[in-house]
Amino acid sequence: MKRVTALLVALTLVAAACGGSSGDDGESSGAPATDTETETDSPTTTAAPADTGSGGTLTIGLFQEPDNLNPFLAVQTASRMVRDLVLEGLVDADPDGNYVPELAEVPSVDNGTISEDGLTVTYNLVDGITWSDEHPFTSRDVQFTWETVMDPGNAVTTQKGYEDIASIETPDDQTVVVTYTKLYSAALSLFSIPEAILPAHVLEGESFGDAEFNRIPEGTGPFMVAEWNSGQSIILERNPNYRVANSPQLDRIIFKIIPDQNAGIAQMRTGDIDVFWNVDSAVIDQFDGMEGVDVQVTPSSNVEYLGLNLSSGSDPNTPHFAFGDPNVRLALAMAIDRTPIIEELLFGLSEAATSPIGLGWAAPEGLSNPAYDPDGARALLEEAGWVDSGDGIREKDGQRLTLEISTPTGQQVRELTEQVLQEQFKAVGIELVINNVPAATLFGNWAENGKLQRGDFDITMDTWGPDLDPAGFLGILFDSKSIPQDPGGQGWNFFRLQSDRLDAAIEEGASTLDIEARRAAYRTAVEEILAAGVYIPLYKRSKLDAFSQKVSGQSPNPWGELTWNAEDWTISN
Amino acid sequence: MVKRVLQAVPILVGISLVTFILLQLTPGGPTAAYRGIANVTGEDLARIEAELGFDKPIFIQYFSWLGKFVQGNWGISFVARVPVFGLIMERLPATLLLMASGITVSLLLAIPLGLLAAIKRDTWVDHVLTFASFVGLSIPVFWLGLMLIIVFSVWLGWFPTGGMGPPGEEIGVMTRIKYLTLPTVAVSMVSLSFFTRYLRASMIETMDEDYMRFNKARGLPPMRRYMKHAFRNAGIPFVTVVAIHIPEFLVGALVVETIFTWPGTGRLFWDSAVRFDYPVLMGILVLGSLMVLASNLLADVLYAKLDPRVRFD
Repeated sequence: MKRVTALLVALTLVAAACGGSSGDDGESSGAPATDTETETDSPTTTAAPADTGSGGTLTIGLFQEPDNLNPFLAVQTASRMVRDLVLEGLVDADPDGNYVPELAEVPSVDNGTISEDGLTVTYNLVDGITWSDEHPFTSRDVQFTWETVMDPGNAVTTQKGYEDIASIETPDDQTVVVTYTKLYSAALSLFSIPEAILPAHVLEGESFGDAEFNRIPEGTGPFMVAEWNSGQSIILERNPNYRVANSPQLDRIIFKIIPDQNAGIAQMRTGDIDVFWNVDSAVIDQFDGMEGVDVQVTPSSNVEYLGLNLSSGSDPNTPHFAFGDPNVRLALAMAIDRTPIIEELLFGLSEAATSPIGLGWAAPEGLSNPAYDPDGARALLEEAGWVDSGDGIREKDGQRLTLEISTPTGQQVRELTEQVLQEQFKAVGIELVINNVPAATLFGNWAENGKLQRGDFDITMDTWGPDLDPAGFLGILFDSKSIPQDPGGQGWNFFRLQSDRLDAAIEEGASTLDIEARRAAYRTAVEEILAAGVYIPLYKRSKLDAFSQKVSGQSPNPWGELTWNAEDWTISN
Repeated sequence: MVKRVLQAVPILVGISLVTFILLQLTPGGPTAAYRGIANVTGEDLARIEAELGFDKPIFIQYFSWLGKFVQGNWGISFVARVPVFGLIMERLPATLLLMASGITVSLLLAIPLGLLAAIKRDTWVDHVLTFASFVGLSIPVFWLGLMLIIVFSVWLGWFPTGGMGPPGEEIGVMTRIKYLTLPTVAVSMVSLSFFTRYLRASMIETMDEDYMRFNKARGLPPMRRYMKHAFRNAGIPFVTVVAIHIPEFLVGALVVETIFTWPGTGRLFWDSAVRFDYPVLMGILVLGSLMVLASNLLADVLYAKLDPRVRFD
């Protein structure tokens, strides 16, 4: 009986709050400043009704259960998708790839918060932020985050950039001064993208590797994790102490784990879920004509490309029997017609890629691929000494022009793309043999005989793309220092591309914080990569997400996850 | 009995050693997921491997794992970053529920159907049942699961498409049964067909015995002959077969849990295998081996109990 009464009271309150807030919304949108002021004047009386969104529960289907929600331990995209609603970084990225304030103002050279030499970065924290348990957020939290990352027992995913920090000083609660030992070009992404600030008051003295925080993190963001039901769902509830008034709009977001794409589509159809995250492009046509459902297309920096091996085996100085000749590489690029791949296999939802950096401030404009020209390709191959052996496949010195392509198994669009390429290459006299292997075999490290690391491939089809700051991406994939070799074999320049000009451009881009100088350096780098012909960009990978038409407020952001602005989403019944 | 249980210990240790080595031999490894992230440098990978203990020789890793395991410390999941024991225990009840429901349903249906097929041997009833059992045995479980979802959830809307209940709500018995129905059908189909076939064969064999013909000759009513004399004898091997077959439900659960998003250990195993989460895999494998050994023991005990000619020491 007691519970029923409590429920009735709660319902009345909710009804009252909803009624009250819809009126408030209309007014406050016109004058948000006054609204906040009123609230601070008499917080006790107005806080409750004014601070309630339009309510409702939204259910998002995730095909991948997040590994954990600790930004320094998790590696899965699904983790960021959930934790970005709970944890925040010092700064964030807007859809155009610009830094915007989050927990701190964006430091810049212009206002003196970045020193001329780029070695000192000062963050001014936004006033009045608390963790969802009302504990104040201070400069100590930032310092603690760095100490945690550098603690040798913590096995964090990456220390890159953090290891270049000499010290973090906290002159007062609102100011953080980060001093670097050497210039780190992506300094502004640290503590922010894709990472976040950790709460010192929760984690200090805790065992980091298996802390409760890793599943139920304490954050400053619009939502809080209420429950994590392993294998089923993660339930978020609105953070009543979120710093923005009338935000978030939704009361609850339920992330429902649906590991199977077909099951997810079925649940979208029955209305069991309102959003289905990351739909496989191979099944996207199933949403054609599905009533009340729209597909949102978000461009991404990820580019699907063909990677060519320049060497025979792992020694970068032994040329590949075919790709050792630049004309053969060019001929291969000219033999590719991207139109059927994009129009038929990707349902026209992607566009052709022309550069490894396809998006963001560093993306060079005005690049184009070698035009599709099978006749030109044939002529180049003839010139290079590859002539028809009688069965349509070319040969030279008794060696057939047979090339092997490898991509991880189990990806339908890629497998179909390989078949299209097989036909297109055959038309110019190149035999393409498909040899797909499990991801672990392809991407395994040196000791595991990974095919890419060991140079045990001719062509690979893969997806990779830069972060907001492309320095790390270019360095690990194209710098000659990143050519995998024994012992260790850690870099990912499996093309075994060696170019002094490219190395110099990559280094130049990473040695200044001057954005114009960096942009120019990366343009040179990209031009070098494309001129070498070892990286053939195919298409830009788009992220596809299905939304019920009941949901509104979402918008695509290539630099954030789907839920990047979920505090603004609403749901109607 | 004590002797039998003690015999299981070295078997378990042996299984765990072999699986530990096999797991580590698979290409990839727990740091595979870290590769391809541009920010993760070679130094990072080496550091993580050292901090998680993968740089040590495999036998040292094994004995360090075993030493902790027997003390109840099952390690920390590399993926979830929480203690393994808690993670498995969170998921075990869901699997046990699905298994129990699957076993119950398949027995409740297989016993009458098996008896019916044997009694009505070579009639159209038997033929229909035989045909149905072969269909049931040969349908791939994942296909059946998807078909059940399409027909009963999407088209007819009678049952939910998956999960154990609506997330974030109290779940009553009726709701639970609703969510349990389709996964149960999928997980029990193969066993139901197998049990039916086995019981039919076992009954027919018994009914051909001399004493059954004698019973008929002395004019015992058919039901008494079938139930009291034939079934009692045919049931003994059937019970042992059922007991030994229990772990099969665990295997079936692996597929069914993935299709119906049933949050059990089967799905946890699959997810952990994909992510090379050795401590979780080891925990589930040891539990699975325990279940196999326990079912075998159960089969022996039951056999001895039911058949006075067999003694169990």
